[in-house]
Amino acid sequence: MPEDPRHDEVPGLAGERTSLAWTRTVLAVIVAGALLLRSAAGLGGYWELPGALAIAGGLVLLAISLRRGPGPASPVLLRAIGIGVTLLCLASLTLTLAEA
Amino acid sequence: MPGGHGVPLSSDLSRSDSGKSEGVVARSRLDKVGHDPDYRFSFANERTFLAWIRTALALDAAGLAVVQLLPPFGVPYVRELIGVGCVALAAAVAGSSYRRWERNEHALRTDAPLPHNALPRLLGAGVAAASIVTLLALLLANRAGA
Repeated sequence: MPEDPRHDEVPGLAGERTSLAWTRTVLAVIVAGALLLRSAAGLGGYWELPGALAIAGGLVLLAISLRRGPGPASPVLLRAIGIGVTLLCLASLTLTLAEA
Repeated sequence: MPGGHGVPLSSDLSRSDSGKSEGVVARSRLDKVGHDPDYRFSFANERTFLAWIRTALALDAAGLAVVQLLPPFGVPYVRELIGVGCVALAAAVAGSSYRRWERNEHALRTDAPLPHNALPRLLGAGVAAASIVTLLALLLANRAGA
């Protein structure tokens, strides 16, 4: 059995690890969004929007990750996450520079 | 994916040794390249992408927390310097993460060696720099307070 690399682990475990990685990522998105929202407190205007959008995005991502099929995720979803998190970071950067 | 060249950060960071294949990756649809890899490899690549995303989010949160939650060091603008550095690093990591996933997936689909990734070195250097600046600021603040 060990000679064939396909038999060296139970197939479901790779999917399970990936599923847990999605859960951790969703948590990280929501925590980062909450911190950005808190950082914007008292600034007024539209400063609270990026944090609120990040938390909403995290909840959407949670729904998507709970409903995902057995296979790997679609490249479109990964690209959307990359763009969304980049925008979150740029909003944080703008906020930090604006307060400095 | 079409238009995959859009993010300047990723092409800057990943230019080093596979400049020739990069145009091919950007212009062709990934699922038409090569063959479907062992699903465990695709899952591993997906988890690596998610780990980079979490790294970016952790850096972003650290940068915000330094500025928002720490009391001033006593040295002007040090918190802002550390915070802006962390958040800028976070943007670089997040901005290049999809491109890195795509290049890895392309390599898996064509049985090519995994592409060189310069980001761990940049990340290590950035975190080290932030730590050293923090250490110096703490030492200066202690000396000023004593």
